Order: sequence, then structure tokens, then C-alpha cells
Amino acid sequence: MTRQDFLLRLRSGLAGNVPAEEAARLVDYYDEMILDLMEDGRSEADAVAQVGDPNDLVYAAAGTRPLPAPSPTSTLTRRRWRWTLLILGAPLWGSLLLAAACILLSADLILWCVPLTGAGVSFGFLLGGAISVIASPLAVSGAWALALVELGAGFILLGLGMIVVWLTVQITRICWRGHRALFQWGLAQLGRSKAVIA
Amino acid sequence: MKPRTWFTTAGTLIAIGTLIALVGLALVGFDGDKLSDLARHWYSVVHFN
Amino acid sequence: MDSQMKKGLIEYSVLAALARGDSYGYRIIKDCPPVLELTLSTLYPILRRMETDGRVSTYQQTHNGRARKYYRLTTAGRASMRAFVSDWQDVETVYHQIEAAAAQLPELEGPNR
Repeated sequence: MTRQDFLLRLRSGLAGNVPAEEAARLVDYYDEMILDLMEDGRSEADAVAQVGDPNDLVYAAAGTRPLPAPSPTSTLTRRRWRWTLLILGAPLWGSLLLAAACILLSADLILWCVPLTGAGVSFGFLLGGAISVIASPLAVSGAWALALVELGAGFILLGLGMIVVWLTVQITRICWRGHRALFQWGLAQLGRSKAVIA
Repeated sequence: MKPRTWFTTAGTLIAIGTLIALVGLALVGFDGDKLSDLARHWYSVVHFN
Repeated sequence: MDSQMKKGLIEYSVLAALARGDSYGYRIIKDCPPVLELTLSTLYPILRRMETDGRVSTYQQTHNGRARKYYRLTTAGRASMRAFVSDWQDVETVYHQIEAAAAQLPELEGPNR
């Protein structure tokens, strides 16, 4: 980050969070620090990096200062402005929000594909096994030896099917936990307040 | 049911099934033609022909 | 160092850094003992607080073509430093109490405490 970049972000981050003169003091202070670090031999990028992330500095500054009480009229105009900008900007943040939601949904679907596959496989095994066992007596007439093969295969399939069922249940449990975590994370993102920089 | 019972049942089924199938195959003499007959029969059952 | 102890010591260390003469932010950080782990962002509120309560006064001076803010110790600041030094006797008393108790610890951990 360049020094100008840093100062711009710091200034715009502080605006509205600290009184104007305090913001000016903070910007001057950190600007002075950056220039002193550079004088000491560091490059511009290193000096800016050493001072820290403008976001963090804004949080630190805003945290230690009480917000000035807003005057009644300015709150109304500010609120009107906020709504206007919100509506005007809807195509932008709306599409971003939609895209984010779709990505989250895709992740969820991919998550569920695994247990779904497991369920499909177990169903196939169990059904096939059952059919094999039941149909075996009806097997090729006369060649009852083949009926045995069919019966045996049926049992094998049933046994395998049972194992796959157990695997699917375990995987479903894991996926359910993953799904809940994903969902809660998604909701948490909506609730978290974010710093607006420039 | 308990996982142990589940796995025991599954394992038993597989073991018995393998045994029976092998016996059947032995009696058939591991004949490829007869086995394809079996396969065709199974196919028709599954497809309700 | 324990962070609570650091908090108690940091501002006096900054005052001490200014006692030798007027100084500016970056130099203050370099002059303070590294054990205090004073950073750019932690120094700022301390300087602000001391400017507000009158222990420190500020002025601008050009340096290499830019304006630099200098801090100067005031009378109140000097008094604050002297108060800290005289308070140290009380701190030592408490320290000795803790030190004595810590020295006895192995005996106190016996079965019949």
C-alpha cells in the first residue's frame, strides 16, 4: 500500500466515526510516523505495513472515543440519504448478495451430493439383493445350481447394502453438521457490522 | 439396532452368500454360458419382462 | 510483563522520555524500554490523554520540509513523574510481601496446609 492510499483509507474510515479534528490529528500522527519510518531507512511499503491496517486503526480510534451525539435534523437527512443510496445502489449490492447466496447454496448442494450418492448406492444394493434372493427360486428352470448362485449373490448384495447404509448414515451425520455450520456462518456474515472504507 | 449387531448381520449375509454362490458356481462347473443365462434371467426380472 | 503492570508504567515511561528534552512520537517509542512493548497505535491515546490533562504540551516544528508535532513536559507532568517515584516506596512494600510469599511456596504445598 502506498502512503497516499493508506492516508486516504484512514481518513475515510475515520470520517463519521470520530470528530473531524480528532480525525485530522490521527491522520497527521500516522503520516508523521510513516515519514519518520521512511527517514529511518524503510521503504514506503514497509513503513506503511509497520504502521498497520487502516481498518484496525479506525476500530481502535473509534473504540476509544465516544461518538458525538447526532443533531436531530442531521439524523433525518442522513437517514434519507442512506435510504436513497441504498435503493439507488440496489442493482449493485443486490446482485452481489444474490451471487453470494448462490455460491452458498451451491456449496450446500455439493455437500449433500455425498450422502445422496450413498443413499442411492445402498438402495440399489438392497433392492438388487432382495430381488436376487426372492427371484432365485424362479431361476432358470432345471438349473437349480444357478438358483443357488443367484441366492448367494442376493445375500452378498444385501450384506454389502447394509454396510453402505451404515456408511451413508455416518456421512449424513457429518454433512448435517457441516450444513448447520455453513448456514450459521452465512447468517453471521449478515449480522456482523463492517467498516466501510472509501 | 446396535452397530455391532448391524455389522454382524451384514457380515453373516456376505459370508453365507459367498458360500452359497460358490457352491452353486461349482455345481454349474463355472460354465460361462449358463452364467450368462442367469444374467439374462436376472435382467428380465428386474425389468419386469 | 503483565499487561496490567505495563499499563501502570507506560505513561510514566513516556514522561521520562520527554524529561531529557522535547521529543516527537517516533523518537519516544525508540527511547522507551522495549519491555513495555510500546507501539505506534498504543502511544497515540497516551499522548492524547496527557495533552488533555495538561501533563504535556505540544507545538509544531518544520523538519525536512514537513510539519512535525513535538511534545514538551509541563510542570504538571514533572510533578506527576515525581509523584510516581515517591509512590515507588509503597510499590516496593507490596513487592516484598509478594516476594516473601513466593519464596515460601514449596512449604505451603505440603499435605497439612
